[in-house]
Amino acid sequence: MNARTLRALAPLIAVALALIVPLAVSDRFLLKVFTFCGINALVVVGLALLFGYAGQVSLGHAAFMGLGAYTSAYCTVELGWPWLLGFVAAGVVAALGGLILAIPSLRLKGYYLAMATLGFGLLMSLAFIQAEPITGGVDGFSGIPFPSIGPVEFRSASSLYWLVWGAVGIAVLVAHNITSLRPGRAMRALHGSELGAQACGVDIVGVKVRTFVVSALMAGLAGALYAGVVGFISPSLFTLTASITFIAMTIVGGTSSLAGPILAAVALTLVQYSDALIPGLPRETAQTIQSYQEDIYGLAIVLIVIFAPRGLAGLWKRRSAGNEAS
Amino acid sequence: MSEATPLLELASVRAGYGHAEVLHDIDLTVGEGELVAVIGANGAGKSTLLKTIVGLVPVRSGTIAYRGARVATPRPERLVRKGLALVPEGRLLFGPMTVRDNLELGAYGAGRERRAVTTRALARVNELFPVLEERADQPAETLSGGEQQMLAVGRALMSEPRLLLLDEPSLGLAPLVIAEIFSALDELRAQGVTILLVEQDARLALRHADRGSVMRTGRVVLEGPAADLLADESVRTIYLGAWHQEGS
Repeated sequence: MNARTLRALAPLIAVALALIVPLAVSDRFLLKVFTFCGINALVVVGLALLFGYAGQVSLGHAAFMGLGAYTSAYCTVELGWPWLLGFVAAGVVAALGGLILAIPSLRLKGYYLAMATLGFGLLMSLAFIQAEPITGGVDGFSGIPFPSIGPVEFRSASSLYWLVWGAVGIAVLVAHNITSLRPGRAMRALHGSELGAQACGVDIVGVKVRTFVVSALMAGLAGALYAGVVGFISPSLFTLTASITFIAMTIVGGTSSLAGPILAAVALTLVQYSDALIPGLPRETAQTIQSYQEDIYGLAIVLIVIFAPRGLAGLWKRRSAGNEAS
Repeated sequence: MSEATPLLELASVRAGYGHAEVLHDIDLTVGEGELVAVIGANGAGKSTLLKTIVGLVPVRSGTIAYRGARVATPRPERLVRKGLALVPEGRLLFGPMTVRDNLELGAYGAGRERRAVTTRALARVNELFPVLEERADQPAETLSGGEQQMLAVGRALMSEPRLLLLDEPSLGLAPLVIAEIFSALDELRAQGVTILLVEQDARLALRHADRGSVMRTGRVVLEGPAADLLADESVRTIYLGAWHQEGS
């Protein structure tokens, strides 16, 4: 099979693998781990648009995820809304948060933008703790119902898996449409050179704001899914560390790609749950791996930046190009 | 030049960065169909002048008028839609993207007629720089310096501009390539495209221009027909010193 055929078949292979998982995995916990992979992948699809395509750094994406998670929890538990309505509200609130942050911040560039989003993330972390009547403070928010759409309730591990990866699939389709059409070109141009993009007639502030909003929306929806899958959320989930983890997944996955970051999101999420992945792995060893989780992420970033600056996607493209040339 | 309706007119423009004023009372006109060269030493304010025209450096006082209408808050993307295109210093191409993608991005602001504009402008660019058609599927970053400059000019032409602003198009290029680029500029002017050229190589710029302006420390100190400037003793001595060495 040559590289071109493999590249054409790659999306089909990925979908087939995603479909096989619930059939092949009988362990409920392991299936939940793959569901978490999907939730992280959803955040990373949005971040791939913002960072990987448009070149805008966000160190505050966990905050958008948190906004979505708390909105969904509050709407379903406190207001008694149907889950789907709470899910939509989560996306809207996160997108609004993205818009409010984007308008003043996106005139900033590089480190300054990273600092502004970092500040936003830290502020929201504190807000999740301080707004106790809404968020439950440090004790968190419990009793969040399982997701449901009309009469269909997603309670089993496999149904939650389908729901989450279904959402990832829709997000990928949306993102693929964005990146392969005119807005995607504008985003890549923006990544290449802001002045160059402006010289082509690209409204760079508009592109940045729109991309930021879409990216925040996806993170918010991922938060709502997390709340529904786990049934409990707390401020410790939506911290700077989580934001950096998402950025790590995007960097390792590679720029101007959706597949690479999704693959990286799955791989780096699995590191957190090595005990579930490797049967018979002693608990102590699993705990040791988990305690070095952030070091593993850091090392992955360093290695990627040095040896493959365009990430896993860049390696794949380089290999494909090499195969085609030979 | 049609004196009555200049395509671009700067009147008493002052501009700068932060507290530092770089341009002082700049008056400049570019008539329809002209090629005007702005020459001067490094740091004279030539690039700042172009950046001010497209809105990247704020105007402190004075006015900029394009096609007879005052441009109150210039922004590059809006000006592109009005027919003004910039070829920035350093080219600022999108390296990993193909030559074709770079060119198509040049027609980004073409509005509803984008498809027709892209087809028409692409044919014109390919005719002007046939090498770009040969390299259409190559990433822009793999082109030679000269080809990259051709792509930068080609990308600007994709919006079918009436006024083309070029910032140091000869910078870092071999003489043969420079000749090719300037021959293309001559052809564009013959097709009716108005060109404002900022160039450190004064002799080269004036040889191709209709008129020229000499800048020094943020002021236009001399202006006139290019042929007169070429013959002007003070210009020859200060800006065209190399001529003496070449005995021209």
